[in-house]
Amino acid sequence: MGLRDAIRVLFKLCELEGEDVVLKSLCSAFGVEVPQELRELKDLPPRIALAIAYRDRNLRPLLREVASEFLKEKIADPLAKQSRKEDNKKGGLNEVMWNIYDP
Amino acid sequence: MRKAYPRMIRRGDRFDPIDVAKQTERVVCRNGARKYTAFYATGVYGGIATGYVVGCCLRCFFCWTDFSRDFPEAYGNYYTAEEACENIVRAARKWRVSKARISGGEPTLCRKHLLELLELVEEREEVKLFILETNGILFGADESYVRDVAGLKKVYVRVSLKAGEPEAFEARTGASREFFELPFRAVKALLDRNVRFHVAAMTDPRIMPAEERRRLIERLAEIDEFLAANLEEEECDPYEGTLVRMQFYGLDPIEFFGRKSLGST
Repeated sequence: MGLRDAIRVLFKLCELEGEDVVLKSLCSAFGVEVPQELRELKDLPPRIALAIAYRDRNLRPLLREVASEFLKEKIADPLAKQSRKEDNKKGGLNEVMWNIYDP
Repeated sequence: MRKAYPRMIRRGDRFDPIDVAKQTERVVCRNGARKYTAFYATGVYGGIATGYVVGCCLRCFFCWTDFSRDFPEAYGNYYTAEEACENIVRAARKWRVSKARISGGEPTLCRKHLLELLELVEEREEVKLFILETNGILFGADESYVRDVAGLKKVYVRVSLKAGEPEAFEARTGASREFFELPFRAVKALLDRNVRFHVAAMTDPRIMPAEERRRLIERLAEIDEFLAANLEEEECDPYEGTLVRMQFYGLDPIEFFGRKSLGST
């Protein structure tokens, strides 16, 4: 999978769980490889990883381009996050999340 | 405009959030120290050490925090920046996490304390990333505050927006609608200063209508499309504080959340 496609997938995964699971765990749960360009950020939640990557001048144009495409989908689907989260609870991501870190 | 110190709000209440910030600071800041109720680690963000601060300048009816937001006089103890840093680092070590934050109340109250704490965190190798969760009011009111934070390497900011239009901002937070722009100003200032950050918003459809959500996202996209695409959409959960604040506000929390999600049979 190329970097563009990987970033598109990451935007979608962020809608499922962008904050509470780290990038490497989320990618692993969905069978997606962490792109080489984001490896240094693998221990951060994916939304934060994307935001930090956006500060990188080399990655910024591509991130902006993919964001622009994804935005149309995000605006058009106001209940997407909630419904996807509900689906997920049935599917097991919740279990994955809580096994990752539970003090 | 309401003059007495606002605690929980009812529909129609409104106040000046800058004034409330100052009033709150008189309670929760003392000679560079700030009131905290606890230091611990939690699973959010993949594991993070947390200092729970007292006091906020907004009064959102859906707020999840404990009652120290509403009664700052009654909760917490004062900690200097050194003491707070030490406690946060201790929690990070204990739970083997490398991220830290201050949460609960609004961290940007008590500017001197926060800046001292952030400077101290910069020097601690145990903490790699410090997440500053803010409502953006004070950053938007004084952009020199953003400048002060911008030079710090470990800081990552999360700005939480409460509404997509002025009337809704006033209705949900109690802060007068004339201050609606401040968090957006904060977002622009953070972007201009190249601070690492993302934006969150309470877009739960039970609280924010779809049309307002669309306008909020479009407004963010006018600032920067990436910020809008990477928007974290918050959901309202039935914490104890939320239930009480909703009831006080005039919403039936049982009806809002539904008996099933509250664990009632």
